[in-house]
Amino acid sequence: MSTVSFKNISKIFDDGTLAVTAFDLDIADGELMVLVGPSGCGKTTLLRMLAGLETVSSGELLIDGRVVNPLPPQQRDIAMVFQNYALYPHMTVRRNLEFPLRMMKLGKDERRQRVSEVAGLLGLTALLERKPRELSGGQRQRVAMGRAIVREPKVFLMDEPLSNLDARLRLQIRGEIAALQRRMRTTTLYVTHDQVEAMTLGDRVAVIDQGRLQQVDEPQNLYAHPANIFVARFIGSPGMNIFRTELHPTEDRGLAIDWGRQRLPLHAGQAHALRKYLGKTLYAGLRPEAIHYPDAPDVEATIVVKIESIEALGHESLLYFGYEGRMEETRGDLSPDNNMVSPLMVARLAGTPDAGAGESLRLGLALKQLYFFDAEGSAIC
Amino acid sequence: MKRWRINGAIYLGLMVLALVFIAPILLMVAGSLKPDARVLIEAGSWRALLPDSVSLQNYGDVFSRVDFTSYLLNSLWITGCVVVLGLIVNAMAGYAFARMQWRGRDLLFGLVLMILIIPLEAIAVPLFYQVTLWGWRDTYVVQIVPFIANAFSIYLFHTYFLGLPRELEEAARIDGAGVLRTFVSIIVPNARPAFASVAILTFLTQWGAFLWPLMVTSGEAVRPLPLGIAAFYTLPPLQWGDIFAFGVMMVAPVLLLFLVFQKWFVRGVAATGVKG
Ligand SMILES: Nc1ncnc2c1ncn2[C@@H]1O[C@H](COP(=O)(O)OP(=O)(O)O)[C@@H](O)[C@H]1O
Ligand SMILES: [Mg+2]
Repeated sequence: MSTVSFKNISKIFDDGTLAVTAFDLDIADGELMVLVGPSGCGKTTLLRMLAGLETVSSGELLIDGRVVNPLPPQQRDIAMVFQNYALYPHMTVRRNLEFPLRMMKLGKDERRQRVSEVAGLLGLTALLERKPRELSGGQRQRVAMGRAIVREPKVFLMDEPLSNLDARLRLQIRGEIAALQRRMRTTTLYVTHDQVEAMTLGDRVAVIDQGRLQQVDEPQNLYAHPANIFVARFIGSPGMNIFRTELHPTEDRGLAIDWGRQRLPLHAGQAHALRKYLGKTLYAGLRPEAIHYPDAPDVEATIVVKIESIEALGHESLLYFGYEGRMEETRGDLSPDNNMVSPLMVARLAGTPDAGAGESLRLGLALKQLYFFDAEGSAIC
Repeated sequence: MKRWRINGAIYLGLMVLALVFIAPILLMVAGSLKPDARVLIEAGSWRALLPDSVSLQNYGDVFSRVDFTSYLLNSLWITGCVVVLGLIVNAMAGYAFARMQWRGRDLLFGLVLMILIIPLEAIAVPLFYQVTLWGWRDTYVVQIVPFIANAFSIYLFHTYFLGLPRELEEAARIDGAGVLRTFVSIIVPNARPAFASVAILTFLTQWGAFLWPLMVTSGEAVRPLPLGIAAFYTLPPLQWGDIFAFGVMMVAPVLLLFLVFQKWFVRGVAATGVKG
C-alpha cells in the first residue's frame, strides 16, 4: 500500500534536452494513474526517474512519503513492465517469474507457491517451461506482467505495455490489466500515448505535453472540463474542434461570436463570463458530438459547411469540413502543428449523411456546449 | 555460359588456395607418420603429402627424447589461466566501459583503443626490466599476468555489450539485482558468443607465444610448447619425422578447440563485427 509524489520534478538530459519541467503529481494509494500525451512529451522519462533508471535534475520523488531520489532501482520496491517486455531470453518463463523472488532471497517453496499462483492468474501455467522466444506477443506480455506482480511491489510502472500488440489483443489485455489492478489494488502508473486507453483504464488521467503537466483529473472531468486547448483537442476521439473567433455585442445586450461568416448568439451565462474578453483574442471549441443534423433536438443554430471528407463507420460517420471564412479566421495556418486551432473541423453524425466530399451541407450546433479559451489557450468557460 | 565460366574460374582459384593452405599441414601429418629417413627422401615429390608406411614411432620418440608432457602441461596451465582470468577481467572492463557511468570513462577507453595498436615487441624490453625487478623471471606468473588484461578483448566485449538491449539490465535492476548480480545472471548468459570469441582468440595467441617466454624463462621447468619445439629442433640428431610429430601434437588442441566452438566463434565474430 503506497503513495507516490512528484514534487516539482525537472529533467534536463546531458545533451540539453528539456524532457520534463516542474512536474507535480500525487498518486493515491491503490490508484491507477495514467500518464498520457503525444510521443516525446516526457512520459517514459517520468517513469524511468521514478524507477531510478534516470537521475532527477531537480525536485523530489517520494514513495510512501519517503524521498527516493538517491536510491538505486533495486531499493525502491517497484516493478516495471517495459514496452518491449524485456524478458530474460535465456531463462524459461518460470525462471523469469522467479528472478525477482530470488533477488528477495525467498525460499524455494515460497517461490514455487508464488510463481504457480501468478501463472494461474495470468493463464501461464502451461507455458512455464518455455523460453520467451517460443511465446506469442500476447503471452510475452503476460509474462512481463507476471514478473511485475509476482513480487507484490509497492508500485507498478507500465510503459506503453500494449503498444506491441494487435488491436484485438490490445483490447482484451487492456481489460485484463484493469481487472487485475482493481483486484490487487497496487498503486500503478500507466503510460500511454493513446487517449482511449487512458480514458478507459485510469482512475485519474494526467495529460502531459512538452514535459509539462496540463491537467490531472478523472476521465469524465477531462472530457467535460478541459483546462486548456491542448487537453480539449487531445481528449476525445476525435478531439474538440477549436476555432479562433471574436465577440460582438448584440442588440439585446447579449454577446455573439463569429464562426466563419456566421454570427452565433451566446447564452446569457456564457456572455456574462466572456464580457471582459470583448475586443480580445478568443478561441471557441465545440466537440464533434455537439454538431448534429439541423433537425436534432438541442440544435440552436445552423451553419453551412463544405464537406472535405467522410469516414463512414457504419452506425456513425466522421464528417470533416471547412466553411466560408475559415482561411481568414485561422490566418492561413492550418498545419497539423498549429497547436491552437484545429486543422480540420469534424462532426460525429449518426448513420451516413447523403452528401459527398466537395458538397455543401447544413449542420446544427448545440451552442450550449461551446467552450471558450483565452489567447494563451486556458479555459474560460 | 559466360557466368558458368566465371564461376568455374572462381572455384578453381579457391581450390588452389585451399590446397596451398592445407599442404603444409598434410606434409606435417604425413611426415610425422613415416620413418625419419623417408621424410627427406620424399620431400621434393608429391609423395611428401602421403604417408607410406604408417607408424607411431616418431610420436614415441618425441616423448623419450624430451619431456614433452612437461611442455604440454606448462602450455595448458599458462594458456588456461590467461584465458579464464582474461575472460573475467576483460568482460568486466568491457561492461564498465559500455554501460556504467563514471568520470574519465571515455578518456580511459580512448587509451585502451590506443593500446590496441601497440605490439608486444614494442614494450617487451621495459616489461622485461620491470618483471626482473620484481624477481618474477622463470615463473608461471610472469607468463600469465601481463596477458590477462587485453585491449582487444575489452574492445570486443565492449562492442558486444553495447548491442545487448539496455532494458534487460534495467529490468534486472528493477527486479532487485545489483550491478554484479545483473552482470553475472543477465549479461554473461546473453553474451556467450563474445565469450567464445575472446576465449578462442586468447587461446590462439597465448598457445603460440614465443618471444616473451624466451625472454623471461631460462630453465625447462616453466617453458611452454613453442620453446619446446625450438629446442627440439636444435637437439641432434636432426630428425624431421620427430619434429613433425611434435608439431602435430602441438597443433592438435587448437584444432580440437576450434571444432568444438566453431559455431559460437563464427556467431561471436559476426555479431561483434570483428574480422579475422
Ligand atoms: N537519453 C536521452 N538523452 C537525450 N534526450 C532524451 C533521452 N531520452 C529521451 N530524451 C528526449 O526527452 C524527451 C522525452 O522523451 P520520452 O520521455 O521518451 O517521451 P515519451 O515517452 O513521452 O514518448 C524527448 O524529446 C526525447 O527525445
Ligand atoms: Mg515513451
